Amino acid sequence: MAKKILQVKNLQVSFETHGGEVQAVRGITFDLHEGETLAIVGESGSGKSVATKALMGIIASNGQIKKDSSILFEEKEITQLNEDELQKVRGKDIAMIFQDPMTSLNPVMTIGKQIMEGIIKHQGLNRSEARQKAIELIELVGIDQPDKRFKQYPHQFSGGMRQRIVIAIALSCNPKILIADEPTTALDVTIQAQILELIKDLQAKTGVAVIFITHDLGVVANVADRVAVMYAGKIVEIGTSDEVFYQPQHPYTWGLLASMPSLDTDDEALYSIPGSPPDLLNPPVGDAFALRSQYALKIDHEQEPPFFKITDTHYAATWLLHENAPKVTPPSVIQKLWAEGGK
Amino acid sequence: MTFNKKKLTKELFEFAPVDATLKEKINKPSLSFWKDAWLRLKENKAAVLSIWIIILLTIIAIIGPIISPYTYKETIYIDKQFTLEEKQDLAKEYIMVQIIDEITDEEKETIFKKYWEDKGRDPETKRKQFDRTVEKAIKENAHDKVISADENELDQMLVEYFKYTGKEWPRSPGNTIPPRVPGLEKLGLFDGVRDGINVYQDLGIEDKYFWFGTDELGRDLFTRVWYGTRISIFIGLLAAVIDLLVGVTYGSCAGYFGGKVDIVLMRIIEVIWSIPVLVIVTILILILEPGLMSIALAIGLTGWMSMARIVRAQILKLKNQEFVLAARTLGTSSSRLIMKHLIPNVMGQIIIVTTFSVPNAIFYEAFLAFIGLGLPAPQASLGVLINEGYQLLRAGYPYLMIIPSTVICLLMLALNLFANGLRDALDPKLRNK
Amino acid sequence: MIKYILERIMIGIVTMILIITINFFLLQLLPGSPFNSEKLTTEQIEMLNEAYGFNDPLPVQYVRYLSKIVQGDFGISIINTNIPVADLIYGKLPHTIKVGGLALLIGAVIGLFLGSVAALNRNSFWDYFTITVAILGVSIPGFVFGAVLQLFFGLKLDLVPIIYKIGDPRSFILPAVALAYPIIASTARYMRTELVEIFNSDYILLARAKGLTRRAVVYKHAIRNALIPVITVLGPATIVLIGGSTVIERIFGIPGIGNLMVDGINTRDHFVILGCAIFYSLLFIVILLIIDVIYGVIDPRIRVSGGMKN
Repeated sequence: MAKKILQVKNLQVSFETHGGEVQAVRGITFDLHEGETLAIVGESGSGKSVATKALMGIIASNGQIKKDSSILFEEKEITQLNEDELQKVRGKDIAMIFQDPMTSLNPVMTIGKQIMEGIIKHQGLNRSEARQKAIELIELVGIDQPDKRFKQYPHQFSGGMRQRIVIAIALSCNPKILIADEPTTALDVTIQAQILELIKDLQAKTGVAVIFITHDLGVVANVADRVAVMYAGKIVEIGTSDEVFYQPQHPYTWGLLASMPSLDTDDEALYSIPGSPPDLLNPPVGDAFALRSQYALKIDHEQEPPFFKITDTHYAATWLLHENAPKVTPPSVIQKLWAEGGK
Repeated sequence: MTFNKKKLTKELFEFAPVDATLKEKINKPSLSFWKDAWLRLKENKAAVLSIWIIILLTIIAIIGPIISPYTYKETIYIDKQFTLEEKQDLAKEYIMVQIIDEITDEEKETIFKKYWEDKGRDPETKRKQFDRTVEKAIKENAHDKVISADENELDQMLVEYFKYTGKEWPRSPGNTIPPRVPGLEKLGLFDGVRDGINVYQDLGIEDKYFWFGTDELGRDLFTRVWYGTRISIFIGLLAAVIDLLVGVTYGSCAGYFGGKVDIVLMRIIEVIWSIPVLVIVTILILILEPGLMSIALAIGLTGWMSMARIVRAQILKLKNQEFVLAARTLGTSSSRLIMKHLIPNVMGQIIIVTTFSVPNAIFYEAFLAFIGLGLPAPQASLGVLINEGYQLLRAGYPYLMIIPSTVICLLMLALNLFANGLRDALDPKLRNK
Repeated sequence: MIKYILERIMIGIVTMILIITINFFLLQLLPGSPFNSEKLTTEQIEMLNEAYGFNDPLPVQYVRYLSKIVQGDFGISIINTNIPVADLIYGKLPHTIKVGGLALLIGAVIGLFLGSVAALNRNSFWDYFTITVAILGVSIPGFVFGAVLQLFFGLKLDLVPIIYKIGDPRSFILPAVALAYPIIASTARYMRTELVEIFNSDYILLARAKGLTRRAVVYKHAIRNALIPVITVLGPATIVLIGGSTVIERIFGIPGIGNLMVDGINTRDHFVILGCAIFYSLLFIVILLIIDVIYGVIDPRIRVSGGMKN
């Protein structure tokens, strides 16, 4: 297995609001290996976006990383860095792509300038070298006439093209980690595929490790080596793509997979998870998903489940995996998946 | 992950009963839009305080002029204060008039005789001077009486003089009397003192309290200020209603019909918007002549454009949504569609704009009054009062301007803070705008 | 871009013609003739009407009125006999421009500064200060503020002259501040909102994610972007100046156009009022046009594509 470049331990992030402290991320732990793609999946509000912004130190000003958290990037403890040191990491070592390409580019600055900014800052190139590099990048992300496009403004680009530019900006300094925060959600379906292809392509060329945040399991299956499922600020299940898709163990993962529309499940009505995610102002005791789960045990309401190891790479936090737990039958869709995975 | 293994008894691993109440807990009860807005508004301390100030000011504005013993247009007259000499003269006159009227011939004879005998002369030799002597004697007698009388007796005689002669007690308008408030006067505030002289004592009206003083025509400022507040609030509300009617109608037409109608209507707004409001209002008031209705109308007719724009934008956005399409396929008529489906959905925005147009109108009315387009005398709005006060600001009567200015600032501040709070509550997206 | 500017110019011209037309018909609506004065006999009024062409048919009068306005002839003041209104306006213009320009400068600079400081330091003292200034700006009438300034700085502290004096720059200070204060309030409020919104935008997040310094993010991305829409505040600011000049000029005794108009109103000198009104409208339309053109030049979304703002 490749070297670990990022080790996140017990990351906790909370926000001060008028209502009180919102615990958006409540202690998550995961590693990222060189060159791999880790997908973080979850409903909106599960804390996946906040967690990754914390990796770059760009959470909103009322947010705060709690003191027991640790983010180790190549021997550097990100949580201990000051703003100056963080700026050297951002863009250079860890880069990010955002959800909505229509708003993530500065509307009154030329595309070229926006690409050059990071290059000049991190690579010490002079303006004409940076310009050359920027034009190469525009070409690299598959946009024609890069010289002409260099001088244009965002509004002259379509959504898909803008996302390509954002990707070009992210990759401009050869980062080691690329965080893609729902990069295809705001795009047309056909463009989505193109952008995913582009990211995969560029990953193959540059060897960058990708953290892919999404709520779209279809996208996950397409790109991820490993998958982490987040619920209410915690990771509830983590494993390789195959493990999570074909041997899911956590009832929440079951719910997610069951509610995914797919072409081959024709006979069944689409499943949906009842209720809504808990209020993270007052997170529930025990398993946060218990209240919405038909498989909840009494202990789920009292104690938080630990991670149970299923394989070396596959862990899930549910009491159902405890030796004392009763055997349960997952929904039929999941049984089918299990059967397929068994083959 | 550490946990106490011993505690993990078997029964903990039984299925938990499905607890409906727990589920309720995670699914926050969804509040209706208005309830939610009300809760948000209540959290805004400045807005809540403002509501109370507005209510308080409105109540005083309604009650103040009613409980006041004066009207807003009546000049208050103060009884003349006489000097000691004037009092003595009047007292003398009173005594003489009284005696001369009532005296009999015998009494005259007695006085006549006594006068000359006191002088050691024979009265009969002076018979020719009978009338003059009697008069002189009475005068001297009156003089002695008056000189020996103390102030109280003199005052008594004064009252009797005016009663007896049926003459009116001389009065003068009690103008520019400084404010005096019971209680506060002991603190040296509102004590009716100007330039070191207690004006109330000076005028002999120490029993009276003009809380806000009187203006240059001797009208009670307390009554006038609250009457003016009433008028100002009324103009504000009236202008807001006009604003509302015109703006909503215009905006919903433009938004609902769209296309060419929309383009034409919006161009018209653009053109009107390019004319300074001052110009439109001046022209309108010149045609209509200043008055309550014409001022409100002029202000209302200039403020509706932003309302129209907002309503139009909202309706344009809403009209293509499913529920409207659904209603339309069911054959709902245009006017019904606007009234029943579209307007309720832009209500929040409409309320916000209307709340802001009240203080704007009050502000504008005051401005107009200041440049001479205010209500004709003796009517008064806060603006008119400030204008009147300003004329006398440097003449040494600052309270005439300060008091109505304070009231208008307080009212405006409360209305604006309330409108801000309402906007934040009804449309959290607009916060801080 | 050219099409955009031409369109703006067309709208300006149409507005101007509309205003002049309204004014013309207003003249007809006013009770009696402009020469309604008790001092004049009926014969004299008739003579004057004849002399000024008020007995001609309306269309003839309308065309004549229009051509006169175009030539800069706004009629003759009734009170200041025989002085053309245009001359009156022309004579008063420098004072209004001096104080108004100074106020615009003070208002814009302080307003932008306060708004930026507030947005950059949310919930700090300066933030609350700016919010307070903004709310007071719409709550305290200009003439009250002007009078307070006069009472406090002029009469109590005796720091600056309270009455405008030609050639004494110190006497410009109070009126300019009084005139500027609503502009400070609205500009600060606008700048703050704009910046706060920009700070919450994705492109600022992206700029931060690039590893740019806070300085670069604030100046290159946030403030530069916020300044573009703030230019539109100049339009309403002109309105504020026009309205404000009438009361402020009166309070501080500035012999400007505002004062001329108020005198006109108080003496019911219709030609003077209408002259000032037309002048103000023209000024406003020209300024709106300039704003639109500047906006078009500095915002690439309009400059490059010729699209409309918003």
